[in-house]
Amino acid sequence: MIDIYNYKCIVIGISAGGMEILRRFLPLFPSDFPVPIVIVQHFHPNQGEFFIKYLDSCCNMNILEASDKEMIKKGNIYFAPPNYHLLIEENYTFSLNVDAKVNFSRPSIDVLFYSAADAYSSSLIGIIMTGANDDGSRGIRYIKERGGVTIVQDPDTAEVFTMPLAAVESSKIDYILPVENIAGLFI
Amino acid sequence: MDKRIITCDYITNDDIILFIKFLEERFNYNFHIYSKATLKLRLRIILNKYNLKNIDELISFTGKNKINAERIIYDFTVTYREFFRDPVFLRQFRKRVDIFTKPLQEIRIWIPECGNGIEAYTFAIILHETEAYRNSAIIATDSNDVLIEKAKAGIYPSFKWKKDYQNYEDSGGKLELSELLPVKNDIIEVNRKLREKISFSKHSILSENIPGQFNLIFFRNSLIYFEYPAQISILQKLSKCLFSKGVLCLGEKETFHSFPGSENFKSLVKNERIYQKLR
Repeated sequence: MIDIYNYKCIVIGISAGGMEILRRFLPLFPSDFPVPIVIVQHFHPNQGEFFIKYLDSCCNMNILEASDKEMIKKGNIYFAPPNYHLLIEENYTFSLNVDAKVNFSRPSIDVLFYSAADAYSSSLIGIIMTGANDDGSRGIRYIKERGGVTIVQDPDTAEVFTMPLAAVESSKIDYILPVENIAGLFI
Repeated sequence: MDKRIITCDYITNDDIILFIKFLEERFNYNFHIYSKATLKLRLRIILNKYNLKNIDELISFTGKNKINAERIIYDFTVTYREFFRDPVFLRQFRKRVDIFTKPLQEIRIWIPECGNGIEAYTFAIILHETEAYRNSAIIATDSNDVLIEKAKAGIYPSFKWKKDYQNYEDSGGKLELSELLPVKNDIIEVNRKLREKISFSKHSILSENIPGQFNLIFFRNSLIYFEYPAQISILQKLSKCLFSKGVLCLGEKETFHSFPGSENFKSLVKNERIYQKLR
């Protein structure tokens, strides 16, 4: 178990196969969940808006697209807008940018994770789930280096194992679990 | 080409400040009011690219000679741009531009923070198909000399030209793009007439002086690079530079409503960041 009250933020990186997982995973969080959740999902550029509306209708927490310079607040689950990198500043606000792709991705999970680990250091929980590339594998190692907690969806149970496997191989991960058991760590 | 790796050790805020001060004292660039998270990302990419361990090594590498300095400053400052980003916006813009420029004899257009020029050429090509083009004077500015020279030259790597051409088509563009942005030997070289249509010059959006009054300002995806208080003062400055009924275009995710003075603007197109000054 993780005592969630010791943490300030959860970041999640998820890619191919992610919609189905998030549809099952995010509704498990109660509306009074004490920390915000920030997600980079490699959407198809035109799918993001629809997916956010759909998730908002079936989750207890609010589902939003992250806005530039917005204060990050508990009770909310934020998604990176398509075609922008999403970063967290040290004053816990978002910044967006249109810099070059990282790991062939924009938004990139590594970009979010590095900036989040700089901002939250040991008060951060990082999660990597299903996906088809290795984006996030460096970022999750960095979260660990900064004292945060790292969690990876068990590659054997992931729809696409490449991304969780790359994360597992990058560093010593604290928890490697099927999705259902991940939520159980803090709820 | 797009593969960037950002592994490196912890960069503190003090490190960033140290490097910013170095650039200011040595080269007279002002980065104090830029988003620190974005600057950190760029520093990480630079350290990795040049195989440097930390900020001290970066500073001595940059200070070593002019070539190093130019490369580092270019990588640190250039805002990555692609031709015809956000084609839906461009389509909406093209459809309406003649309506609000019709009464004008001369249409003065400004593209601040134009970087290496791609955004300026994007708009020049979009305008090319409108009545407005003939009567327009286009000024593009940046605070960085190196970028201004690159913008004037109008030569870019062509590795993603198919996507660029596709975006143009998606924006509803009807011109023969192979004449305006011809692809040859792995480069795109912007058509000479188009290059001559735009006047590139050095100017910093942060400086006190303003480069005149304009009917149209294109400022997409530049505001997000600044910290919030700087965003407010930049928007106020841009607002001052617009003639009455002038139009300001911002990026898809750049919001306008929280800035004092926004009540003097109306949104021209639903869901698109195209704002007209009322008075």
